[in-house]
Amino acid sequence: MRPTTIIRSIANILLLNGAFMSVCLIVSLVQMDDAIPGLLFSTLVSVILGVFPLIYIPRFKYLSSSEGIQVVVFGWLGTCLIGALPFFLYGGEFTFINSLFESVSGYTTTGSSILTDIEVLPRSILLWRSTTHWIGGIGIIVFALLIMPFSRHSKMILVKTEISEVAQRSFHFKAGETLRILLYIYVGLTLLETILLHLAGMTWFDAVNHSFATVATGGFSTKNQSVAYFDSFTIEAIIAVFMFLSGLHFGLLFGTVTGKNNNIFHSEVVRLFFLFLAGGVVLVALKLYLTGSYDISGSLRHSLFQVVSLGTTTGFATVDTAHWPFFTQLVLIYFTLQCACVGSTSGGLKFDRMLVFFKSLKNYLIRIRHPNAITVIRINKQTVTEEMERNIILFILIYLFIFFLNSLLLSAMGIDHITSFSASAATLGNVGPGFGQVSSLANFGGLPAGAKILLMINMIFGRLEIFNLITVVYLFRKG
Amino acid sequence: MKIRFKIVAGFALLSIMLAIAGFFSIYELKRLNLSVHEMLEENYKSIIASKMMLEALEREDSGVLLYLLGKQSEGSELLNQGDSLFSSGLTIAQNNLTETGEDRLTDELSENYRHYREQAVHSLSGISGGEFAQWYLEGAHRSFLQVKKSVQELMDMNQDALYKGAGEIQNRMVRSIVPGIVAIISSIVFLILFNYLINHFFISPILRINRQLRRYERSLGPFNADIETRDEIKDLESSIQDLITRLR
Repeated sequence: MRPTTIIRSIANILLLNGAFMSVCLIVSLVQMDDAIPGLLFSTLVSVILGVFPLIYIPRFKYLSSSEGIQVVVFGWLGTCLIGALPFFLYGGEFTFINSLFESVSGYTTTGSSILTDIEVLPRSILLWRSTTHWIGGIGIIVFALLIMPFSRHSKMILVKTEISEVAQRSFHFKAGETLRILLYIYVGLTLLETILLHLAGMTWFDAVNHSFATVATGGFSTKNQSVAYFDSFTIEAIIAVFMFLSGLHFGLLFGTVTGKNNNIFHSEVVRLFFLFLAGGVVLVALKLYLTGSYDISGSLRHSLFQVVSLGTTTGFATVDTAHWPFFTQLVLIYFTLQCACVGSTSGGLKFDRMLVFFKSLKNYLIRIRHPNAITVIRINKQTVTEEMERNIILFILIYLFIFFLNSLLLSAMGIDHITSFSASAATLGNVGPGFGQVSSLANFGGLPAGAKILLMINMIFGRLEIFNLITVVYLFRKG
Repeated sequence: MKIRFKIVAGFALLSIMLAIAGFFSIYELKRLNLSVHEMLEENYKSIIASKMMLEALEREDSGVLLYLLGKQSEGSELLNQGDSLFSSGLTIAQNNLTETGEDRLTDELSENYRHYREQAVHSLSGISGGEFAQWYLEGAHRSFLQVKKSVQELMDMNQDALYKGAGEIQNRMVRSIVPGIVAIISSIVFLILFNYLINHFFISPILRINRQLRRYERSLGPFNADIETRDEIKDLESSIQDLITRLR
């Protein structure tokens, strides 16, 4: 292991962060708001810590797999730490833990907030909150690989580490090409949504912030009432469509736009994901209608938005789901656990893995009846190897173990069971809001500091897909 | 890059960070000082003025009652004292308009006081014995309460601003301390990194060159210190290699 190569790679990432911070600093300077000193100092710290190693450490051509994993893990951790500085230096509700929570929640595209009053913040800080989503959505490492100078071999290693093995199946391109496709789709979706939201009545500022949060499947809003503030069906419909699109594999979206066979209409995963979401919408809407919560159109409208919002791990809200019937909350918790498709900006378990799990279960039942049967799992006409199947089931088991362990620890801190259970699922899946104390229109500010730290670890576990973090711990134990 | 540049760059970046943190801390402390000054000068001054006006009104009310009870000289004296005190308080308040809507409140207060003086003080001599109670309760006391309410509103407005200002000062205090803390932590991280890089890129290569030279001296084996950087140390390695080649 060569620490200098890891340091140089992380320096590139910090420098990129500094570049994004400087954009918010410009906004702050234009607005002449209270965040100028904080943003200026954060930008400087980020740039100085980024530039310094680049002066000393010469460029390298090769990166080993273990170095790649460490760059990804420490790059994310360093980014979250540096990203908390503008909040911490701004003050107000942002204590150190709260700033770090907001930053981790932003970069991991979770969208859980500690803020009780979002609207009092200056525009530059609101933009920085949304920018953390936008950087984290596609992945800070991917952004760094696209913009900063990395050798071809390093790019390949880092793409392999940052993009999960399952997601890579639908990218039939070289590392550089895959990165470019991700960028085109990501920027394209953001631009298109911003324009549509503005045409639907949002200001340019709100439109940019909401499209950053939608395409990254994050969920930070510029309003205390989230999307409910706008009370516009058109805005909700636009956001719902873009949440759904951002929850799909970007390689498939690229295939759809460029007219290739590998597109969303030919994908079994997308078809089933859509059916699952539609089923969820119908179930929730029916229950809401039958319990007299809303009329039929209101039930469908709110059910559609909430199911798509949680099912794609975005976390925007049009109503406070804390007052919804328990059955609807359980359906939403299922979607919080399941999450969207691999290769998208969403976090959590991912629908593709759930599909492999269900197919594996089905094959297991076949083999009980026919012990000599040869069973193969196919997803999108591609065979899932036994090793990948084993990895996926192991991932699901570890995921559920962490989820239950966290719920248990949160309960031990005196937090009520529905809050513990849903907050654990919502942060591990990078969804954002839960139920109870942390419902869709509430916030995480009232939780004890220990709970916030635990939930931050949860978010990072969710975003780095568990194995990377475990591997780093293993590498350090082995020395 | 040259070694001198690298080392100077390290110290320069560290100095920039510390200087900027220091600048922000001083800037926020200055703003904090200004806020405290503003709060004391502006809001507290108006609160004191309001208290003066309340005290003056009480005196005038007592003056009216004394007058009605037949102690006219004592009553008149109190009325004059009260009027003078109220006028001083009102002048301070009118010259210290710092909050939005404060001008409207002081205008209203001035108008209410003028009305009170007209109704209660100026018509005092024309009241006959039997009408005293009714005149006081229905006219003078009502006007008195109206003026008192206006003064109270002005005081509440300034007290709210004072409370808000105190919150702001607390926030500023955090803002003046935090850059220092962040700078200290960042500097420690920076120094650890600086130390590591100096060790890795300067001290270790020099030790390696030294070791290789001793090995060469002992066994005349190959000389290769494996220097990664392209600076004076690489030049030194190349020069030694050239020298060894020439000696051979």
